[in-house]
Amino acid sequence: MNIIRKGQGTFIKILSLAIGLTVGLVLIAKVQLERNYDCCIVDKEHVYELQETFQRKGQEPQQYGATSGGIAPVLAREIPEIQTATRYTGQFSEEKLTLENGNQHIFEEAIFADSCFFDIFATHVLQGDAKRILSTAGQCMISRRLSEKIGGEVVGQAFCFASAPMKPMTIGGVFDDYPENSRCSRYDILMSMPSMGTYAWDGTENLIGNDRYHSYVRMHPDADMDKVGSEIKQLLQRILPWDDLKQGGYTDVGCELVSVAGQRMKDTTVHTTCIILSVVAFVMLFTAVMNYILVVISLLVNRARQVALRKVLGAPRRDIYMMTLKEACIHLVVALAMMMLLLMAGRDWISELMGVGITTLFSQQTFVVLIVVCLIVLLCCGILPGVIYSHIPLTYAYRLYSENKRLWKLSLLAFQFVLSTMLLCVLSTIYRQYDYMLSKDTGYQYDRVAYVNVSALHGDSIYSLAREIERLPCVETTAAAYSLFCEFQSGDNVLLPGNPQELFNCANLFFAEEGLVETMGLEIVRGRDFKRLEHPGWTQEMLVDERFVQKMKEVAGIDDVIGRQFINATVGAEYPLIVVGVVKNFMLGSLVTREERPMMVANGNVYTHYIMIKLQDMTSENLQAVQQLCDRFYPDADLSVKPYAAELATCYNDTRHTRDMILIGCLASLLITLIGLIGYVRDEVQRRSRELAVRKVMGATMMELQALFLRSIAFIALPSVIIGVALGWYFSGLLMEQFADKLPLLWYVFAADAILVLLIIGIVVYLQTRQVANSNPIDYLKTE
Amino acid sequence: MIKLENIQKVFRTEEVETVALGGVSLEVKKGEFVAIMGPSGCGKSTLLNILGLLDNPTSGSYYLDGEEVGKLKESQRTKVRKGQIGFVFQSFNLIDELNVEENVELPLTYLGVPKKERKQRVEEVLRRMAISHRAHHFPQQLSGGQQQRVAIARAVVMNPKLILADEPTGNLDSKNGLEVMQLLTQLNQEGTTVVMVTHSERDAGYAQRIINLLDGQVVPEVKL
Repeated sequence: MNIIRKGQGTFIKILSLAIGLTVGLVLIAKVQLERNYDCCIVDKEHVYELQETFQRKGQEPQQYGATSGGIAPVLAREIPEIQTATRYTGQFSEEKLTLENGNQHIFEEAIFADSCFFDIFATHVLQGDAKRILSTAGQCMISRRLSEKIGGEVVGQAFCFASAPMKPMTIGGVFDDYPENSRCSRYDILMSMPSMGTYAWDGTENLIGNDRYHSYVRMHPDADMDKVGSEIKQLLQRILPWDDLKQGGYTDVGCELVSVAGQRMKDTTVHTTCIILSVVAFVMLFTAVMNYILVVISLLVNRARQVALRKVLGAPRRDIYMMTLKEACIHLVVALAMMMLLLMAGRDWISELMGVGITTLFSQQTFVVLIVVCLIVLLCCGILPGVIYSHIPLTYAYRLYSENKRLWKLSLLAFQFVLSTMLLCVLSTIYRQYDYMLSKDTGYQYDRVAYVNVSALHGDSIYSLAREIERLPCVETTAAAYSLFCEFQSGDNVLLPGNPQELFNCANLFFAEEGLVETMGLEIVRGRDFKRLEHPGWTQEMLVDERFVQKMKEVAGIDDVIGRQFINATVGAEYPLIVVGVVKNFMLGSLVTREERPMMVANGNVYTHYIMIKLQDMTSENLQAVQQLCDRFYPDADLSVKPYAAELATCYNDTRHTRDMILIGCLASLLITLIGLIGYVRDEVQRRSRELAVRKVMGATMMELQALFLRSIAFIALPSVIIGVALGWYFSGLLMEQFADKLPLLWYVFAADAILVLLIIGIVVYLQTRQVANSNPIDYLKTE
Repeated sequence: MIKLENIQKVFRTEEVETVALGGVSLEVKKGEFVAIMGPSGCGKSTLLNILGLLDNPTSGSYYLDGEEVGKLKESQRTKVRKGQIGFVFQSFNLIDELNVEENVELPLTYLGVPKKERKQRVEEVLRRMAISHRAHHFPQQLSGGQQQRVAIARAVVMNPKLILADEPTGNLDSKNGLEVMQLLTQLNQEGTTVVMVTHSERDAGYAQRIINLLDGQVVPEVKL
């Protein structure tokens, strides 16, 4: 056995395996992480998420993935089957904290969590008494990574959030980072629940309203869930203020228990993505193994005599198997080493693509599955060639091996063509869908819009900064706004003055100032725009969209909303808002998280988080000019001016990642297939060299000789590509199921994919056969 | 029909330069049967390859029917060769994947002869070569003599002006060798020019003229 002997196709075999393993194992690891999502939850089979259910008069029942703050503790107290319960709610995200010594550090997310948080979401508490800290106002626990960023002894240090500069929080302890594949992975700061009142309205014990809390319970292992369900229903009947609810228009309010076990995989997007990634991974590994075997078969001519001789000398069949297995083992080890190099070289990119780091992808959670996959690859690469070699007749020890095994080789190639075509079809579908999402008409114009997050500034400062930006010659208009259109929007109920009944829930954009309509290119279909505020503040003017008008007509029978007063549940009945204008419907959220609720926004330039800026032209110079102005006015606020289009594109990151993963799979699969095809054609050219020479002597032209090969490949490529397109069509349909707003599958796009694959195959065959077709026939006749 | 003037053929590798033909000049008239003889390595096959337009000379001129063909490109050589020159090889060089009929039909296919005519001509030549009963057999199913008859059938099916035979009896026993030589003689008698490379004095006896080669040079002609 000589692994590195020239002419054994060793490099091709190892390269194919390395490419296949790199892409295949990364994707399998990603799928495994999804399957193992939330492994930090203790006794996951018995942990349930509480979800609020409600129904308004005359409307469909609805379910919401959160509850009011008091629901979880009440259930834990009153329902004996519940072992423990916890709730938490987000507060700050991706901003800076400032320590007493003036050092600043960016964190990912800060949440309020109660003292039972670690009972459900387990991780090592590295410092401090978690129960005590999370029960004490003004105390928090921080993650290990944030603690390492801060450095030194962190316990006892106080800090302030950028958006709450005068409200210090003291670090009481440190917890180990949660795995990246868990819902807690981004939490850097767990603030005690009693601290809530310092930073926000305290609804921690509310039984209705302020339903922003993620609540979880762990049931007793023997709990009868049907019984628990009815107990919860009875409890809610007893404790909820039903008269108020009925006055508010609610006919039913309840609480659903949703098992967290398998919850992730029930998500259509995650589920579909996992299926697609598994298919791509399978394609990659299968293609790589097929290619390995293809090379082995192609090289039979060279090795048959050697193997036959071994058998003549007494080698049993087992020894032949061991020989191929050992070879495959060494090839696999080298391929894995090559894979490690590829992973190291592209680790940042892979992490960005997969949403998790390389160390998590190849961690304890995925180790066993990946080892099993490698073993299967090893067995396929080791056993199948063994079977072929062990069947070589002894007589080949004395003569040239002449069996061409063409059927085998063509079958293996056919598989590769099928799989590559399938991936190309899926790729073209997801590419089209992604482009469609980015170019979809949102109902507003954002090509020239930039924005700056001003959460760290006060209302007065925001107003002044917006006016300063407006004066820049490169700026057309500006508008301060509470939220970006593409963000998830908070919701608020709408009421009529003097009537406690809540009519419907709106996507509440809270406040925006005059200029929003022009800056974002909205169209006012009735009424007028906001009046311009000459000072920081807000008025009771409100803009709504056409959906609001429609809903108001359906629910309250109001035809004309212009000039009418409405109550926003958050602003309160003492400040009724007057509709001054109706804007044409536009897209809130994104195509993935599309908002169908009616929209409302009040006129105000305080209580805003963003300044929207319409530039004369979207150029880096203009962005730079705005950035320089922000830096000059607020050098410590770390304001960052970004194009709005980039923010909108981030809404489709999941789709982009899926697209990129399929792209990598497709390219790698095509590459391996082409390696296989090149090997096959080279082998065929060698095998048929005499025939080609004879044909040439008989008068065949170069094109006629190349046509011979093209025909023989087309014989297998055409049906393979057709099957690949059919499979691609099926998986594309599956992939598109996750999109509410999707492009139809177009037959001509698939036809173009098929033509492209055939063209690539044709070009490879043409180039490979060009040399022999051009060469002097006597060179080949001489060898005889 | 054939006129060679000072033909040289030099094979060059990185280290060695081998002169296969060192200024060969000769003429072959239409309808002649010429044998080329000489020891191994004297340049017989190289000369035959040049005559058959399978290879170009390094220098010198080659006139075929009065036209200079020694400096043609491969594609042009193919055009001239097609339909004009038939080849018979020592090792037959039949295509294993094609049966007898298909092997014989091959040159006609490349000449663009219509299918119906091809079939007719193949049947005729197979009959002439007394191999019709093996039309659907594959080369491996034939004896050496039968294979060479098929090879000759393939060479003559397009009615070439010139047949080039490279040791046509080299792989045959004496009985089959005799049959092949009789066939070539018959073709020559029917008007086809035959140039044959051979080691065999007996086969050379069928030719009207023998050209002896030694170290890439023509030695004085012997009129028989």
